[in-house]
Amino acid sequence: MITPHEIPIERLLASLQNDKAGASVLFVGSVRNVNKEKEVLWLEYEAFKPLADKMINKIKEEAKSKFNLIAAICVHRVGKLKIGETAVIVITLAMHRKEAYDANQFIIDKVKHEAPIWKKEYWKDGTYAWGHNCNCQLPHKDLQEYLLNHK
Amino acid sequence: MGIEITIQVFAVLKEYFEEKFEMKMPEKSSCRAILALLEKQQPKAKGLLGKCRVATEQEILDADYTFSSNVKIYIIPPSSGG
Repeated sequence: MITPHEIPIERLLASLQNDKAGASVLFVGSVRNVNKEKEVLWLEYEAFKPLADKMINKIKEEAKSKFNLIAAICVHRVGKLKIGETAVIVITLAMHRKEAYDANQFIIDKVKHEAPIWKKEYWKDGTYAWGHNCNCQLPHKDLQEYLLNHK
Repeated sequence: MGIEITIQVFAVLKEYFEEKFEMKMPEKSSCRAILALLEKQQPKAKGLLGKCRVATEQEILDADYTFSSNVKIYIIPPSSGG
């Protein structure tokens, strides 16, 4: 699920309470302040929501079937995110920890590589780059110029 | 007689194209042909377009999928979520 709002992690965890679950795994992806030795100021995430929601649901259903999960949640934020904010969470519930761990990694890996979600990274040196297959490596432009053009 | 393709692009593609625009294409044009035409229009985006997928709101389309009538499509650059 794609959302422009802060992800309510505790509420989501509580919503998945299930007496059959012996293991719950929570993955939290946060905005860090450095990438490729450059200081990051903030990130902007963009998504094609109709398709991203559909693909995330499909990935969750695939994981539930493949790893015999009891439940799974994946929420990804869009918009401007500051350092330390949560960009994505994945929660998996299973009877045993191996399935919960493996399924969690399966979901986040697939969402990162397949779902139509994109990251734009703004650096302290005044440049920015769009993420590209998880590596920010595309055109740098002057940040001041960008900000002037997008007031 | 051709068909009208309405195109929306995302993320890094907006550095090279308007976010939304229209193109006239021959009937039975494929996703691959549409991407090739975009490459001709914007050669600087050639490497990037080679990694892009064409989609509707419901699904990613096969590169050989063809269009017989007016349609809105979305050009999906490589993902970088997470």
